[in-house]
Amino acid sequence: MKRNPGIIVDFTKGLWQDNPVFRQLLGMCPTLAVTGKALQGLTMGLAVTFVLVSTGIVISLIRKIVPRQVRIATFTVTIATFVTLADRFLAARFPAMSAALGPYVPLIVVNCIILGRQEAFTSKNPLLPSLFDAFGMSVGFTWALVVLGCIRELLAYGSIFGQSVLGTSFEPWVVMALPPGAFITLGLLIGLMNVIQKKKEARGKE
Amino acid sequence: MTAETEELAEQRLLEIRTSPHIRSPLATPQVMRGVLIALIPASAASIYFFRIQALLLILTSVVACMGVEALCQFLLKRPISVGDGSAAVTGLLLALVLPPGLPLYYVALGAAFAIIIGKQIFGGLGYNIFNPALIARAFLMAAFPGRLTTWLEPFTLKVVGSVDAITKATPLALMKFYSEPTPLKNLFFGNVAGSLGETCALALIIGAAFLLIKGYMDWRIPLSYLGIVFILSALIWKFAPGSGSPLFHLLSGGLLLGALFMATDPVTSPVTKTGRWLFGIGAGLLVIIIRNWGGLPEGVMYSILLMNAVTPLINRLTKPKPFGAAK
Amino acid sequence: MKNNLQMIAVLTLLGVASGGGLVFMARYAEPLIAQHQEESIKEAVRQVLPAFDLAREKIIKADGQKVYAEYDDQGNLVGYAFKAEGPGFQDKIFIMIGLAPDLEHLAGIKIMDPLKETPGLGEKIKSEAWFQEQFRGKDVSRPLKIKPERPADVDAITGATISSQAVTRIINGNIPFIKEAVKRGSGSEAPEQSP
Repeated sequence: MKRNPGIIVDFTKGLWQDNPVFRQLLGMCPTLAVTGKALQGLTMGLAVTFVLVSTGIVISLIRKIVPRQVRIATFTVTIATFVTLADRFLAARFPAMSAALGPYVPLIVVNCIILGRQEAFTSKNPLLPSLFDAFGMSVGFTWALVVLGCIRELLAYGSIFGQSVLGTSFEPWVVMALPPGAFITLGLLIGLMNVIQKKKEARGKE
Repeated sequence: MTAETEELAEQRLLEIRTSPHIRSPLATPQVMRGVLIALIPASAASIYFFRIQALLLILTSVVACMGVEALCQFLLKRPISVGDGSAAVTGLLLALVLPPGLPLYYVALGAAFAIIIGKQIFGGLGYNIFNPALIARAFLMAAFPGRLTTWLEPFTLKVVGSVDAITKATPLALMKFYSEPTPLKNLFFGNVAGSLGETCALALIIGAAFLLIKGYMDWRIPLSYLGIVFILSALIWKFAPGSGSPLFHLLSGGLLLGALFMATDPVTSPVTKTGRWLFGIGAGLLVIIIRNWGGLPEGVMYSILLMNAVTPLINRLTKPKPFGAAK
Repeated sequence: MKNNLQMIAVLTLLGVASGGGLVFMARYAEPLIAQHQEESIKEAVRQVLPAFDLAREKIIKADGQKVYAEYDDQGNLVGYAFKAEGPGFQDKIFIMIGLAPDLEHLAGIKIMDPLKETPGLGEKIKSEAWFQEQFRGKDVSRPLKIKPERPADVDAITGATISSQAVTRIINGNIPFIKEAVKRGSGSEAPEQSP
């Protein structure tokens, strides 16, 4: 029971303090590429959640029997396996979404968040903290993608999660569906996070 | 605050310091006023050709830029400096690079983008990397490509917002896609389709002459920029007569407006003399490449924005070495 | 030495487990994926050659690609369909080309998914129905011309000239191949009766 506060921090740090997208700036490739629509962002977030949590469980469980020299190879094989599982499953059950996400599901393999968490956390920690860490990072990643997706979809298509919000008289901002829109939105959001964080710290000092 | 410091500076007219000496630049409000005056001919021409719509567009853009600037500075708790005229210049320049038929909502949106994203986010006047008016136009172009490429034939706009006006391709598009030349006389006097302020070459030249005489403008960038375009388009014309004569390239599109009033923006262009030559040459090359081999008929906006992006590098590359400094 | 053995053992075990998982997933997913692909092709063929009967289809194979010869329920040839692809503005464009039995006229075309052209611009080649519709019945005994070429057979979409031209180019580029494939493969067998 004593370790509980630690575990809670393992979970919550990924949500805000060490948010993979806004604070660590990791996983920028899917962040920028698939957030043209909120649902795509959510799907990508869930796919990453599946890979991150599954890999975390495996790596944490076998951490004691893996020799140091081959740990990266172990991580890579495990990650690649789960990514392929996620990709094939999406293609089989949700062909339209799979086509929309294109190569970015297979590319989760090279997402730095996943390899980074194995090296930094799960390969050194028991199952439970590893699980909490993986979940925290996943939720942090997912909410970031969904927020980006909502803002971009709203301005680029006048809808959120496919539900029309702004009506038919709204003229879409094409740029928001394109990479520049992703960069602009991400930049503004990171700036906003920094402002909030600074305010928080200033209040903490008082 | 600012008035006081200016007074203080004036009182200490006689000051002796050791080298290096940097000649004090002209005061911002003075230069901005000069630029606004220099843009009067072009604005007047646009109102003559595109009537009340041009006037409304200019007013919207200028008022929106100044309002957003004041609001931003108020929210960010910075000193409010709308009076220095830089926001007005941005607003006027933005209006002059927009198509005449653009609804005012988009104009206001572009103005807000110019000030917020183009300028205040970087820290305000003097800190921005890109020319705010052009970055706003690039944004509008990417956001509403259809509207930003719909041009009107002069004198055909009767009622604001009506669809009566006749749309027409710009001279550059006519040349590129339909091999249809436009008489140079029309290009010079401005009776062609295009952005508000770019059509009338005569008005732009008058304005630029004023700036040059007053010493508010560095001549190196316009000269090298226009010179390169002239020379290269002459060369290309020799081998491919369908590409348009060098004079056609000089007078058409946004080249004069861009070279005389945008590329010369002191904040976003190099500070060294060599740097300014490089800036002009680079921008000219880009225009020629985009106009002749790009997908778009016109490339002045992107040429200046791209050169804005490399300006810090040019500055570093051309920084003069102090005499006797070790390598 | 012990360490080396452990490395080999761990990686081997992991590899086996991973391979097992993937085989399991492949068994589940691959038939479904193949089915989706087939459905999307069938759907596209149905749109370019409306009258055809699924039951009577002949597949002409040429250079590893498939040209579908489609027949109606009386066994009359309705036309040929071929899934062509080529570079667009952003990414590849996939087009189902439907040819009339005389091989000289387009029965219709269908821009297929995934289409990755610019949203709001190039993407209009699919979302604006008139663009695809205008190809119906066009004479393709010579290459089609698109505006601003003159005289133009088809209109380009404003603001999406490059994507529009890409569509025409893909069609023009593939018609000779379809003709060749049909000529080489024709007269060989009667319509295939699929179960």
